[in-house]
Amino acid sequence: MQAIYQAKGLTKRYGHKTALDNLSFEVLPGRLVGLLGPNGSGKTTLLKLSAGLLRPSAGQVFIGGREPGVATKTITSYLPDRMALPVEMRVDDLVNLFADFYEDFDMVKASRMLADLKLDPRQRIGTMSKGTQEKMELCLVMSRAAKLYLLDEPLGGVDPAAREYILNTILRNYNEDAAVVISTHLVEDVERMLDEVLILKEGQLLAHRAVDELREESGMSLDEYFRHVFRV
Amino acid sequence: MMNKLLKYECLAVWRILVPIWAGTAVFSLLTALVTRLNGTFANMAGTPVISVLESFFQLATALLIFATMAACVILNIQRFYKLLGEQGYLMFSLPAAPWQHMAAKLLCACGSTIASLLVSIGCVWMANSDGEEEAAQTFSDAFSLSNTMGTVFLVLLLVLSLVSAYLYLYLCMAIGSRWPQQRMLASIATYFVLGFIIQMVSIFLFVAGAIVMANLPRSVLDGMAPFFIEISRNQTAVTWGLAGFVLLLFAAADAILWAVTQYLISKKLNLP
Repeated sequence: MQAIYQAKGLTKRYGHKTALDNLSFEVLPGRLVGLLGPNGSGKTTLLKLSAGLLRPSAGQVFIGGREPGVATKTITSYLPDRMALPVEMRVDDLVNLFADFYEDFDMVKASRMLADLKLDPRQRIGTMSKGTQEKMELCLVMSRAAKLYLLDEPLGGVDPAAREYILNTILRNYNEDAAVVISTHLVEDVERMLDEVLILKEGQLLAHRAVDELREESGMSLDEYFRHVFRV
Repeated sequence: MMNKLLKYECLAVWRILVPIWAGTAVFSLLTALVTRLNGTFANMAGTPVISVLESFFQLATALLIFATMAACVILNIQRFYKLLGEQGYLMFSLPAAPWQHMAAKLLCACGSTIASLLVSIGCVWMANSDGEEEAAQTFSDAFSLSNTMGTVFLVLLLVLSLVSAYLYLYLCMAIGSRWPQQRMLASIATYFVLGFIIQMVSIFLFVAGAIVMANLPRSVLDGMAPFFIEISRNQTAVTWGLAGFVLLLFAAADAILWAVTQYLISKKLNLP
């Protein structure tokens, strides 16, 4: 099976600081991959490079065999680590925007998810609570039948009930032939759903393993392993 | 993709500008109405209230026309600034090239500014409905509407200078966004610093050009003299030559501003 995502010697420097240092790995379709690491380990930089929002200092990223650009954005569904929806827009305006720009956007699925959130289609984004805005952003991203989902800290800063909603939304709605890369440091919450993990430490790839394999070899749960590796 | 970006950009801008235009037009109509009422009752005793009202509406209309233009420019600046802020995460994830985002914003900014200008001119016309013919004549004279080529030159100059103004602002914001913090401040500082540098470079080039010309050998100057004597006999050619040179200068400046800004937002994008 051909990898949907490939990183080859991927390096990103900000001035003298190296955020990512010579990363090489592949992600196959149909895999749920956890991108784990403490704050500042390079998770967001890796996802921004993959989403085409940054240019690598060295090395390359390939998504579906192409470097990030207009073509890869048609098959990649990216959730940033912050609320990026225009607050002046209404719910239905945003749904129409996604439907207009992405051919793989499933309007029925989006309407169903937004109805679950009890959102009025004429409601402005700015009038919603921060949590609802984040859920809405996730619903739009997960309403696409993309080949690669890049989810940056979808669980960051939300309460446990919302975390459950977010994880269920991801699990129920992702395209099963697609790869999902979820960055988080809340390992315990995502452990049950992951097939494999990429562990970053200070911009370097510490491990890229199947979760079951890692559990067997270390004799620890993924959460325990993470705490063990990053113990201060 | 370009059409879709343009559609959403225009919707976002017009959603705010259309009510402002409508409000300004209503005030202009009211001003015209009160002015006529004042004219009708001018010879009657006890009409200072209408005079006060007329002054009030004229002042309000003038302020609204100013506000219309200011709101349009500020809104368009804000739209580009937001593209380089958190909204950029959504917009730059769309399957569109960075130049298409820039082009959509620029087209919409220029279109809405020209529309605001036309609305403002229309409102001034409406508010001074008593002097329609006089105003039309003044406008026609001022902009040489009887001279087709002159009109084309003025329209082209207006569009190119508008494009330059917005592209210069876009460039300052693109440079300001390179800073990790205080991006607004950095953009404003860039506006003034870059403006100062451009002025200094222009002055240097003019002075350098003048020095070179002043020190040209006599033989070269003598060689050039017939050319200048010849073109000085044809005033029309000189006028159009200068007009063409000015337009080319603006077009070249626009091309440079566009290229540098596009490079910054496509290769050096630095979202917060």
